[in-house]
Amino acid sequence: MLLLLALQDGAAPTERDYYHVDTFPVPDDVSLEVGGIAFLPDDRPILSTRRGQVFLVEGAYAEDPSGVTYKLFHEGLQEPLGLLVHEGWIYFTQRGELSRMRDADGDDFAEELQTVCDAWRVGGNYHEYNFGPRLDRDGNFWITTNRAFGDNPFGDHPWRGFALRITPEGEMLPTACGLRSPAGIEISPWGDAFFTDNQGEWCGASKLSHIGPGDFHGHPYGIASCKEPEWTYADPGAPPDGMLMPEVPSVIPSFKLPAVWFPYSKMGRSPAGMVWDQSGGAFGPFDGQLFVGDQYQSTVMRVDLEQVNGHWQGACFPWANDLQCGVIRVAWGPDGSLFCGQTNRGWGSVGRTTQGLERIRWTGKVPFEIHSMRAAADGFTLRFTLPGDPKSVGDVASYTMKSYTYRLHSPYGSPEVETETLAISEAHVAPDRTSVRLVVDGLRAGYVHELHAEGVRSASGSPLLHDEAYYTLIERPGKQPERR
Amino acid sequence: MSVGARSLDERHELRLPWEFWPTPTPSTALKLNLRWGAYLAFWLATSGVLTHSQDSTVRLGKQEVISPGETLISDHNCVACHVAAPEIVERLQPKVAPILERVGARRSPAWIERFLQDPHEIELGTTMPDVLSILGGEEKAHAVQALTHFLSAQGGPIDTKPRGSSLDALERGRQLYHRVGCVACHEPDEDAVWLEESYWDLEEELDGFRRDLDDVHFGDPSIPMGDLAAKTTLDELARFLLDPLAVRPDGRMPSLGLSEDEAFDIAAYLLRDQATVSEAVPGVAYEYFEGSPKKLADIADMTLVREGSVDRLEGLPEHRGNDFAFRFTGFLDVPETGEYTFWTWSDDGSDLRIDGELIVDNDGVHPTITVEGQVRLEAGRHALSVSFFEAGGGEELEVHWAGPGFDKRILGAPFVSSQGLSYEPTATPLDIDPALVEEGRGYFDKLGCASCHSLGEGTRPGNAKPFADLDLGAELSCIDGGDAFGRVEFMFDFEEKEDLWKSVANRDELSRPLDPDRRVLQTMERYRCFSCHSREGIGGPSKGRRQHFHVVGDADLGDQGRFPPHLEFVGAKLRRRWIDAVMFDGASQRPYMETRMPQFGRENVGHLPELFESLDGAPVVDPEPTASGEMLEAGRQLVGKNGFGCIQCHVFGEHPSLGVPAVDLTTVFERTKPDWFRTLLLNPKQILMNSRMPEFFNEGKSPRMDILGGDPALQVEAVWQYLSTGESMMLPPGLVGEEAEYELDIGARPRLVGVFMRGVSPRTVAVGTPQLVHYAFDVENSRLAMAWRGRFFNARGTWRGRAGALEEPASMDRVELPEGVHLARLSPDSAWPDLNGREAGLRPVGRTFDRAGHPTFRYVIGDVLVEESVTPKERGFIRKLAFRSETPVDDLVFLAARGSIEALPDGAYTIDGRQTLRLSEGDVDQRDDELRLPVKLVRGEFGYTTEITMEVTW
Repeated sequence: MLLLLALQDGAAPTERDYYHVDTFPVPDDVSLEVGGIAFLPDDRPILSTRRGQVFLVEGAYAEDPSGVTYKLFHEGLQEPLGLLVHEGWIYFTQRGELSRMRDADGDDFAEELQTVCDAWRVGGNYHEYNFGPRLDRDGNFWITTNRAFGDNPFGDHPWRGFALRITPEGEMLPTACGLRSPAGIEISPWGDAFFTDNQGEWCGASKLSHIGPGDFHGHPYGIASCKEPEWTYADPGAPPDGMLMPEVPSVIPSFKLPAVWFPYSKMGRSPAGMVWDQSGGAFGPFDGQLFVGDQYQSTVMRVDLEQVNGHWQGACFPWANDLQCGVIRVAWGPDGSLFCGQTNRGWGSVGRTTQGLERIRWTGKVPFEIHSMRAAADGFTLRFTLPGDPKSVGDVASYTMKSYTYRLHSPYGSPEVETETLAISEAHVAPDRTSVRLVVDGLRAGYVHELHAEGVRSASGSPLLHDEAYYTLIERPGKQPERR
Repeated sequence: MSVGARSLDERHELRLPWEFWPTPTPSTALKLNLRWGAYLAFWLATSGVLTHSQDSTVRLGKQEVISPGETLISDHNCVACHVAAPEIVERLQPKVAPILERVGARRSPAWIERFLQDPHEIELGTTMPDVLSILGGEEKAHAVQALTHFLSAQGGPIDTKPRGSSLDALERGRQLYHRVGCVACHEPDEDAVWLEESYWDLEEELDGFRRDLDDVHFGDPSIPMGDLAAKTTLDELARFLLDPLAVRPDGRMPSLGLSEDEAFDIAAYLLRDQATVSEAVPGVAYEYFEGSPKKLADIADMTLVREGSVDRLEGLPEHRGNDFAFRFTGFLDVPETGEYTFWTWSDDGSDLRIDGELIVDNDGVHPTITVEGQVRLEAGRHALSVSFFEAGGGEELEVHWAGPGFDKRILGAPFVSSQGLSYEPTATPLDIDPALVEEGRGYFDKLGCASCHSLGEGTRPGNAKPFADLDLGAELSCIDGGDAFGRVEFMFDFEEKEDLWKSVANRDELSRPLDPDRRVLQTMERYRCFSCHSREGIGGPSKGRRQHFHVVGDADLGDQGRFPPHLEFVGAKLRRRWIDAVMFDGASQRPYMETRMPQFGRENVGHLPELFESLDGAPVVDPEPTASGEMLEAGRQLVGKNGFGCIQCHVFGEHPSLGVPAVDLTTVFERTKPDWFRTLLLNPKQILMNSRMPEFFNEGKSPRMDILGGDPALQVEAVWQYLSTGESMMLPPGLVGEEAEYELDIGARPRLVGVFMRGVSPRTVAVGTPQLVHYAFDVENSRLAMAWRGRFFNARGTWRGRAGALEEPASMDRVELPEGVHLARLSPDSAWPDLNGREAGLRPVGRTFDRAGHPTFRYVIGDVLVEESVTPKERGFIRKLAFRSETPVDDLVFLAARGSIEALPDGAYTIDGRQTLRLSEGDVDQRDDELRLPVKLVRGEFGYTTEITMEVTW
């Protein structure tokens, strides 16, 4: 017995035992500040970069990526921060337009570029980044636009801080407002659009939010555009400065609370691109969940969502840490691996490089993780990826929980406010030992419920690979909808 | 770790904004200023805010920090008359009265008279008692007159001559007043929206600028200034602002380190009620500066040498050979409403603004070039300014304009005029009567004025009943509005009287020294440090004033960039000598912040640095330098781009960071304490809430495992040692020497870069060709904007850091194509439309590339598709436009050139004598200053098509 414990101690599992990370080498004469990733019909990856170039990657699927090469596929673009292959074209955003290009003659250089939509204008501010496009079920292209910081030497123009839909015919449909620095936009497997936003003024904590038509997401920078004829929804008006987030919908009906807050530093600081795992288990136990890159922390986070009283919400979990550089884009490779495009220029990040490309592969081993955390009327249900040890899983002392929320206000970021420690009064282990129902006193709607499960052990006695989870409880099951 | 002993996180949670205070009504606001202390004491006493700490050393508990009575005794300097034991004076730090030496020079006699008559009436909330109430009506009047003569004789009489200034100065003063920190204590004059507009957007009548104080009300009380216009003069107010402590040694009004110009500007604003607009004179006024300008913005740092005026903006007034600048300001009288065009022709840079708006931007070092701008102007008077600088080489300036009914001509009188402001003091001169002066001196002595006020030789102890002997419950007392002699009236209200009596009754308490915590709070409350800084969870800019804290320019530093730092544990953070330097030598580490740290005077707040240190952290003894070369280099690598990336955000000496202008790293060692620095890097959460400072050690792990074995403590030590090396500090990697990295070389194929291009558009594609003739295509407006020869482009402004700079070609050997649209559908007798491409319906549809990588830009005008390409050739380029339409089009015209055009015998044209242009076959329509070519689409296999070529050599 002692010997066994000693062995386990000596070989504490790490993330890399379950998910392997390959780093692609980048030659000196290539700047690979990746803003967009897509794959050509022949599976070769293409990468768009912040320098306005697009590279074609050869040899990306070799076991050892050290022989990879990059070919210039296009250049002269302005901050192309997303790529989408669709109907023979490669769609991408630039500062001033949604464009598409193609390499019809097959010489590995896209010789044709077309402007799909340029219904918005550029003021000449560095922060006028646009993200996307992602394609919805109706064939619309979704784009999110950043607010500007400082001067617009070419004038102030509308539609900053918006989610825009561009129809296949190139018509712009402004769809949601109040975004700040929405570096990730994705369409869920069920067809809804979600975006990520970065903490700052009027964005108390980084977040993942569902986008409904006419939503206001909290930032007032661009809302003057809501007086333009293209905006067909309610004008949210100026938000109150300093109100608790859960209270804001009572004064601004269109204010949308997030699906997930990423508590600052504990989880993400600058969430960016994301993808849903639709591998059916080929990428490990997280099928149906969401992987979200973080530009500052150089991590990929994991999110599990559920719909409660009509509101999408859920929990986030640490997943892949210690990548080489801030992750701005993630994409599924045709080989089932997760490609991570990286750059930290101008903002910095954790990690050892300033740009690049990495690939995360499942090793086939299942880590002992909190698979999901779902809301119940009187607490939460945790599911684990592997059966747990019933004694530790069923012991309320294995868990601690606190809850807090944020303020909607003008200063940069919000501290966690109204923090309370919550008592876990009961822990009921399911017969299959892979889930436990926690009865928690004092649940509050509109609050992050931060769980630590340090005492939980697997059936074989191992601790969780990551023992924390952050559930953003906006709606409570079994309660009347709190809002709307 | 000493810093973490008391949890800062917890403190911040407890920070209470001022709005939790009782909200005063406008009429009580002024009075409330004096009672800040009283409220602070009340609030701390009842809220229990300081009891949360488990650390027994705070021990403030629910007891009063400073009783309201004590604050009143101190603010009214009761111990000036009622002499008290030294330990009491030491504890009270009583507020000393203004020095009256030269009071006659700075105060109008009429104001002195009114003030003596009833101080409380004209200076609401003054701590000056009415000392003349003892005297009967007639004698009081006489005493007031005598004292007025006596005081006016102190350096007087006041200079009542009018003094000139300008609207510019007034506007600058208004901006300064609302930005440098005045409004942390004084009333802002307007809301922020209003601030962003210039006076020119508002009424031109000066009366329109005046606002009643009562119109604007904020949640925390402002310090009143009284009726400044009645009180003093422009010169004297400026003199006061430059060194307030010379007159008011109590330090409540601190020095903001203003320059002389700034002091006069703020005075011009504060005294605007004295200003009248003077008669207009023909011509524009100018200021002549010397320095070393490289762009127009540098004028702000140049020295004003001379002022004058000129009738016409043609040529330059007297100047030295190089390195000078002019700023011309005045009014432009626009004869009729319509579209006007302005040109500046200059070497080097110039610009032209109307009503503050930039119309012509001809900035930069360059040979003589012309830049034009159009604007629609209403008939009437507008503000005009033209700036010009010369770095080296030749110098030229001409400004032309054209408008409805007149052609291009030099801008000058009678359309331009200048006008100044005249400040007339309201003071009427006083003939000082020596006999009355002597009588006044008698009153000054008899009434005990000298107990509080110095005439330059110090004060004299009062002869009232000593503080220790004061009778409790005396029937006649100065507290109740008349002492035994019935001669002073402070106008205390009932509550204040109660508080004062209570403190007099407990006066033994006042002999005990204040403990350091309370002393700090007393001082910070007294000097309104809390208006900007927080400490002990109290303070910081109040909600009503936050909008007046600004970052310089557009530095993206969030609120950290505009709000002064909190002072929680400042004694643990900063070295004593740096706190001293900031508080007493005007040192500053935050050039990005508009608000300045005021100087309150060592006499008044000299005890704070030591108290901060004793409360917050121990003194630092720097060990002997033991840094090894390996450690220094490790530190250097970690500070650099691929280490912790400190230089991504932090300025490094004279080198800007790669991103935002956060505080200078090269001074970290001399400013901060080692323990604080280590905590900041290893565990930033313990130190700063909401800071943008990243955490480097995620779960205790270093991002650079290859440096010093990845040991976080060792790595932080290495950074500290590296930063300690002062002048010998080698630059961290990734900071400079990158110019070459962004220089775009061109190989066998063309190169394309998308940029914001100055003067063109934010959607410009710069195309570099192997033939070294390059061009810029403006996608936003679907037009070829310019072409140049030589070096292609340096992309630093687009590819480095957060980028977003306005770019320019790397060569000045360039030709610019006509501004605006080059295609229009119009009849031959129409003027060329003054529209940009988007307005004119020119919209991009994309581009294609040939096998060699040369792009063809594609756009439409209406139903016509245009494909445009540029092919380099010897000393120029060939521009080809291919047109295609499904439907017939017969009114499309191509504008080949604009300027002075001459036809050559061989069918070519010269444009402005600088370029030669040859057009393909067609009915060229040569006009005075335009070369047009109708586009004749011909029906064929692919609809209606045609092609135009234009060959340019220069």
